Amino acid sequence: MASKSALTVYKKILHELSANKSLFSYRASPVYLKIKDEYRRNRPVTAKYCKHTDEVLFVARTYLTYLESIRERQIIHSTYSKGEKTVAQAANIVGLNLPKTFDRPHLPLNQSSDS
Amino acid sequence: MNRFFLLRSTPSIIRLCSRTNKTNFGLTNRERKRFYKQVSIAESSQSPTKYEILLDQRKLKTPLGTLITIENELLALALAQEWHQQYTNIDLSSMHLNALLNTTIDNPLKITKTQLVDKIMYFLDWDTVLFRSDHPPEFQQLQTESWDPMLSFINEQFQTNFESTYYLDVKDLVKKNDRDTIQKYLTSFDQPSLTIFLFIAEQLKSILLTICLIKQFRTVENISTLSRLETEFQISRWSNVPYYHDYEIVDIRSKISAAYLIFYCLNNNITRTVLSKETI
Repeated sequence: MASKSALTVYKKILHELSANKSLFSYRASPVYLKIKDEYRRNRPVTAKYCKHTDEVLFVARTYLTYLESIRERQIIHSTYSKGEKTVAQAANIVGLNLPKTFDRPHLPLNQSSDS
Repeated sequence: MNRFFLLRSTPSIIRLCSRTNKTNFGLTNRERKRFYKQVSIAESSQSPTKYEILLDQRKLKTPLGTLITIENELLALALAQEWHQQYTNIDLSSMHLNALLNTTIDNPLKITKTQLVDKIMYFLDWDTVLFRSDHPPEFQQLQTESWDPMLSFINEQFQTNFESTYYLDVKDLVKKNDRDTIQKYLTSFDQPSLTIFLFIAEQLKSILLTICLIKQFRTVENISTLSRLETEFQISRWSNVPYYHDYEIVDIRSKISAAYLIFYCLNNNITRTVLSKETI
């Protein structure tokens, strides 16, 4: 698959962090600041320190994969873990309904029989 | 009267005494709601600066009660973000960073480094990438295209001679020199990193693919697809079942990416790059 460039990874990480319907804005979260800092710091560094190119970018991509896969797993889990359908729901798939039941008083157990 | 009063209050005294400092907020079994408002990082003032996670001013601890201290700032922030992401209920099963860090810090099974290396080497003889199937020909083609680059990369990196086979009864497929090379490579890591390595290998069912991931040869998505090559082939033939296949792949990806993050942060201090070349 086409490897994502640094900018797209950055944007997607931001999207993931803010998509978490969180109580606070992602700007407040320290991870955001740190990632921003790392991006700025590592752009000239990689060539200078003879690091394998895009090494830190790989880590950023991995973190993005982590956030995305956690979210997707949560979605799949909530979609498919509803359990089995009840009898009424299963019948409704083909448009049938359960028959109506009538409540009637219990027959006495010791029914005295004549003769 | 006094006697009755004392009897009434002793249960609460007993409960008070047993609440030691070693709780982990009672998170182990039941479903807990999010009980903290803010997650933050604190630096503890030692010369390799260690970071601790604070949930609303209370420090985070492992299940056995030790304080979680992380040397790498990015990892500490990622862990804090993980706790912060729990919206109403704390879903421990999705917090892989937390679980893995707990295991590496606690070492609850008390496994030594040699035991870990032995376990990993045990996997190597039956590595998935080495045993191929020749039965549908498209699948054989797919295996050759996908897995051969991994083998050639490893052979190039370690000067080994791993070969694949189509038979199950081959003896000594992995030669002794190659085993020793890999063993030497593994013993160069410390014990927490090896725990993580074993975890990744167990998810991927292959040591060689784990090594490719560690050396950043392929991305996490790619490696997880490669490890389930046969499943992917069958999906292309017989279609995808979302609640099983999709779930499995996002599960593998989340676990492996979390584990890789920890592995990288344990072995490279991201903020300071002093040495010229990373040998990992």
